[in-house]
Amino acid sequence: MKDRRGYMVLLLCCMAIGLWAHDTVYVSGGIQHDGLFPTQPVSTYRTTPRAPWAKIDHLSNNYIDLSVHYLRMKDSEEDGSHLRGIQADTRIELNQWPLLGYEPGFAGHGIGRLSLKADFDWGSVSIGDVYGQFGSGMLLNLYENRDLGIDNYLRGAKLDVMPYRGIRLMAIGGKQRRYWNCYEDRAWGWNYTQDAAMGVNMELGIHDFVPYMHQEGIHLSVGGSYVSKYEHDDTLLVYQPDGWYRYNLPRWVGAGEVRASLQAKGWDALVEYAYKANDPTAENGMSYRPGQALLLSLSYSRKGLAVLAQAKHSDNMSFRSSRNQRGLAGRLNLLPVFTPQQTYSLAAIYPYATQYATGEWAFQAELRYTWGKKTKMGGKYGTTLKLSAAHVRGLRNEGSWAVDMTANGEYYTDVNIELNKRVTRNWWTTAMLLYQAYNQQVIVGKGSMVRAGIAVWENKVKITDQFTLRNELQYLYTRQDAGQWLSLLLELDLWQCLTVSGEYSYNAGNGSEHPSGHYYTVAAAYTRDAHRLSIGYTKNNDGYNCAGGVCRYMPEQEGVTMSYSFNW
Amino acid sequence: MAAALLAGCEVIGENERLIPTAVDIDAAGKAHVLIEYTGFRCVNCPKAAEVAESLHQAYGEQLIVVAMHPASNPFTQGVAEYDYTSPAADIYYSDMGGNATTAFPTGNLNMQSDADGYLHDYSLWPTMLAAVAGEKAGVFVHPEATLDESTHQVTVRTTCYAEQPYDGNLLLWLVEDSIQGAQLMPDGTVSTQYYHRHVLRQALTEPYGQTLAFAVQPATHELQFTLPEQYNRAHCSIVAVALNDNNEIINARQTPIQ
Repeated sequence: MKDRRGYMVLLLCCMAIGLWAHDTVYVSGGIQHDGLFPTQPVSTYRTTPRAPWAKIDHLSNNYIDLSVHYLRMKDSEEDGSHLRGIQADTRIELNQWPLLGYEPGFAGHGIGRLSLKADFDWGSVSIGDVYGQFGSGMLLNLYENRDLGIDNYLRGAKLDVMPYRGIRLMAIGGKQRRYWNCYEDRAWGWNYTQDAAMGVNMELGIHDFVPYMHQEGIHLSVGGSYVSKYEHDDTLLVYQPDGWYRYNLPRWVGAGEVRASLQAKGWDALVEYAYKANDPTAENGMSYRPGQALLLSLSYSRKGLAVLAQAKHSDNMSFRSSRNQRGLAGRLNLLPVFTPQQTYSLAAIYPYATQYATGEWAFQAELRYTWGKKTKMGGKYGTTLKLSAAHVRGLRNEGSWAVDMTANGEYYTDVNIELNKRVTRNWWTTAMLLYQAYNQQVIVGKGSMVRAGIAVWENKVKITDQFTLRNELQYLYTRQDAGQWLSLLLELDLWQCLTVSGEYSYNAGNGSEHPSGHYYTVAAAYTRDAHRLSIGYTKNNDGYNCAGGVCRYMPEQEGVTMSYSFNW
Repeated sequence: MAAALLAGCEVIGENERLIPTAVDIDAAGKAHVLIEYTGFRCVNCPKAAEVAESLHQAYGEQLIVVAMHPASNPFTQGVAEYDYTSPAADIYYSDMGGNATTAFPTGNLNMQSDADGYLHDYSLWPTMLAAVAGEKAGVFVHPEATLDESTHQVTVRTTCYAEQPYDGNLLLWLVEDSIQGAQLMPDGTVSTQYYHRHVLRQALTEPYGQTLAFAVQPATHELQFTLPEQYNRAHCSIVAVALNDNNEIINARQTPIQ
């Protein structure tokens, strides 16, 4: 109730300001609904148990976003305020009976976000629920991802200042959101850690102070960050052979980072190093060992050619606002993942999840080359070749910088070659071959090393200006896990507003542990202006949905799906 | 904020990480039940089992550890030979909010919930137990179990009484200890010589027991069941649990099958 009153006051203030100053006030927002009408009660699913919401026939995730913008039309320097505008944001979430696979704490409803931001000539000030990222996110990355059910903002304040060209300072602090508590005494409330996290970040553009660099198009930036979390002391006991002890827990845990990037003549180099002091948590087994991460990246691009090579070392770099927190909630940082985000369904069956606590070495390289039009290799319309390789291994020992070269030290490998070609004026084709190695035991906690070969062939044919047909044919071969897969997708785009699609996948199975199965999805999606409505029927196998190295388990499900979104 | 950040890092020296402390274990108090949700595919579950075992050694009869393998979590599935699941384990796990995505190992003390729910990481078990170590019990259960070798029939006689008349539930579990089988270990290897401790085989009554009026005068209640031949009788025991009307454990006792 308190939150709704606050929201109304906020809205009225903004509107009053706009009317008084004859400036511009407008409202933007969006509505999102993703729903499933399961054909079987949730409790009968092979991989899902009876849940509190099992009696409900409809599962859905629902969001309503609303933003009120106030823009000053007057020159902000005239009155000395330097105020450019004010923005108020709110988000209502109705996820009492969410889609399958979300963590239990995700279920809830209420005002999920409330914030107020004022933009000035010199920067901005935000109060309320704030997001932010320092550098690559190795210390602080506060973001929302609805597919994963992640929303880890800080409730507090953020100050973003550019006191001079080339200098940017950011300070942020607050209590971190951790799902809901509306089924407890406080209704319409959200849960957040009782302690606080805060950080400062500085970026310095050297090129803004060296005219020669500016003239030559050389961009050199250096930066640094410091993040600290405060958590109250706790009595955590441990029983040793010689008696009882309690952990001497650090109430303040600090982490620092330095980075430098250089961009010149198509080259782009980045180096970033982060260090975290002792942070004993449930996730790292109450280890007092400090954490470290190093990121090195080098790329080159020009017309028709792009090359990338990067490496990352991380060790004990899970940084959470609560030492007892597990799962997806309560994470302050997000380590960059050096594995490709595959979009083809069979190529995405084995996605990698970053190993925060135990650490890893990750390597990635990519080459993209385009043969131009009317060349021997490019043909009439051009051809693009992409070679990509990613390899992740564990650390030889705790705290070690050496790579674990044993068989079990291989966590993930993805090597693929992709060819994109426009064959005729109306026909585009893509062919891809992949090899993947996936250490199930390390990544998901069970299973063995899976080695798979995948072939994909995609075509898009523009039949007329109003009709486009797209098809995908995919095949996966492996002797491990669930065995071979075959998948076929057909998608028809009609009148540039209606899309009808059907996908069928067959899994051959692998012994009694993995019976064979047929899986399919048919859907129709209609788009008109800012509205999009999709209705379909799906039967999916269980698997993992990953983004940025963070994964959510998705149980097997079957039923009618419906999605609606509207943005204004 | 600048001052806070400058002071915002506390480094604990290597010799200062553990502080000796005393935990009051009252031998006249009630027995607590630590439910350990585990699975043979769970790589960190052996660590949790070690913690549970160390607590069992510390508390003796005041702590009963029961390992439950819920079929609804992938960590327990896939190999029939290592199927330690039971329908009762599924019910307790589900009612405590566990599902296929719940991280293992996890556990619960006395079927009670707190602000963070029912399920807790094993690093918290010692602290949770110490917080309740000195509690007194007003309700008592004393089981005895004997096996007829010729018929494999087990007779369980549970003597129940209370300091004041109390309406509760009596729940009986069959638990088998030291079951040799495979287990995924923290170093990534698979051990086939692992001993699964305190595994719940079945609930001998309804999952949350049978209604019972605990009187001041002791009364004995008898139940018979057939012990499956594949269970090792020498490692089997009966856990008698007294529950309140919220299905929380208020006392318990464990006895081997004689």
